Amino acid sequence: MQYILHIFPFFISCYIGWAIIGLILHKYKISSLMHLCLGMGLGLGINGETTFISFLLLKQFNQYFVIIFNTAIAIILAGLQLYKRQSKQKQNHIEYKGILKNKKEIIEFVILFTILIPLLYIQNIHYPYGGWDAWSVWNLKARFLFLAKDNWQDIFSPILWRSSPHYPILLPLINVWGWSLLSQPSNITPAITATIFTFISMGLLFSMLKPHTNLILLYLTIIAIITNPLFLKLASSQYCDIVLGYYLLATISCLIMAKQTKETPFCFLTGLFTGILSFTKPEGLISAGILFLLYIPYLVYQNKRHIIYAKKITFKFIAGLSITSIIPAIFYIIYAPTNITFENKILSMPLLEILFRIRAIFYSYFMNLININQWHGLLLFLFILLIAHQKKASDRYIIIIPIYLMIYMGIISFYYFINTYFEINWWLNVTLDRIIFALLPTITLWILYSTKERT
Amino acid sequence: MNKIIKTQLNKYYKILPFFLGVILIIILNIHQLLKEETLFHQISSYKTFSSIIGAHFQDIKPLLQGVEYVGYYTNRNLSIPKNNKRYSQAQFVLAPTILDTNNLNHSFVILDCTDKSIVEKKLRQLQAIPIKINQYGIIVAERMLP
Repeated sequence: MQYILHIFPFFISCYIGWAIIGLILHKYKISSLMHLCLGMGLGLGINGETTFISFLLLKQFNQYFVIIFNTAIAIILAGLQLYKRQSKQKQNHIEYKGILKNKKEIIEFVILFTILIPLLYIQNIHYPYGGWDAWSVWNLKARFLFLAKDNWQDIFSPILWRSSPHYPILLPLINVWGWSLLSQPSNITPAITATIFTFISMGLLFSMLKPHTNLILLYLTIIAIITNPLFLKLASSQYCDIVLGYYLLATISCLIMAKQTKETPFCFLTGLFTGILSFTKPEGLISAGILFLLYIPYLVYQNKRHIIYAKKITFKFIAGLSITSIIPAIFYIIYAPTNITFENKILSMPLLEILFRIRAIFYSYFMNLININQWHGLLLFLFILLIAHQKKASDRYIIIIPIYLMIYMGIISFYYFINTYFEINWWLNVTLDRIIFALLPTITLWILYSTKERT
Repeated sequence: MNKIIKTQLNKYYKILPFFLGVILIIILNIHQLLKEETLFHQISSYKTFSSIIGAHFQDIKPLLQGVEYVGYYTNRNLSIPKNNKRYSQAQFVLAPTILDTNNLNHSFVILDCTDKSIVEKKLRQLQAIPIKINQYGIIVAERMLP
């Protein structure tokens, strides 16, 4: 019974996400794996945000309210699906050509599941509480939200500076939603959350790339990623980086599909995912900001009917974004305290120390690329693959990824440079591999897409 | 027909080094995973207690039910990661109670010290009475605030 209570909220989320994707893309056929992976992430993001409504309206976490509210959403969606199904025969179906739907998908799904889940399960047995930052930051916040009743705002207390009080709280809210049928916080739920996000990240990556790359190379690369010890460690660590990595990949994937199909429902979906992305981590907020700015130039570029089209896609994107960005906006404007782990002493530093700092940042990037012990040559492999297919790496459909990466890494490097609160080598040592980890699915999407033989 | 086969083979020749490269990475990954798994099995008997986060503080949790803030005093240097980890584990287990390291002016204080004499001195200074001393030497004291 306990296992069912642990898993049931995730089933509700999966249904909510599946139904929303089905309703938005009812005219398009996307692969079942992609439908599942987009739906599960969307459902969890939405349920995380709706859980926060309990704190806004009732000033505390109320299990009955959260369960009833989220179940009501599921019931309304079921009704809408039923209504759509009845009127479905009248509509013409447009197939999203890039993605096929066949029986092979089930086999691929089973293969991915049977390789990834046991590997993550072993990691979860070894680290049942996740990594240090998981229990001292993300799971600590979740416990406060679940147990503190009307003192839940204690998570923003400066006394808890070690848990970064300014961080957004989507992951803790998803875990609180996962605990909503339990009487006490359980260690299993954050592990389930981490496992689901890892699975849907890899599933989405696979289903996005399948029509665009050599299948054997794709299978092998996915296996190389999911068997990588550092990837498994960070994926099962219960940190927010896998959540950030997933929403980034989902946002960019929807954006690419919007460009490929020129259909506005994908723009709406991009908006929904961008809003959730901004609620994951400060890096998620930066990413959402960059993608927001790149959105129109990317979609309008090389489009003949650009003015009318720009109006249409902007409206759809803003509509989606406004649904999922209300809760993050309330959080950032009303609740989030200022970042107390930021200090800028660059101007008072001697020149030699500034140069040392710059060298340390770029040396660390280089070492992460070539260090065999960390990624076992995975980054180097992707880099060589990129060099070999550099001409196709700026294809008009995926140009958004290198542009995003350049801007994002520029901002991250600048932040490393100006924030003198932490000792730079220690800081790079503990955070850079996580930044790369969160970007890895998106980087893989970009590079493997570039290997496609165009006909 | 031959032309088609030749084109297909050429395509695969181009991509062959990448196949080999990625297979090598998978072999390295599996080797490392097996090595780590063996290591975990070797140390698993030693880490049963230490792997439970905040195990030292578990039994004082019932005493602090409904308490929003408690003082946390330790003579350990909290800037050392090992000691910081001990404090963070206590905070994790005792949440939603906040452990205040900067201010001991609360009704309850947790004393987590390495030396009994330091504890006695601090209790006198705080005018506090121990209400619980657990088997790991963690003390919960109640202060007689005016």
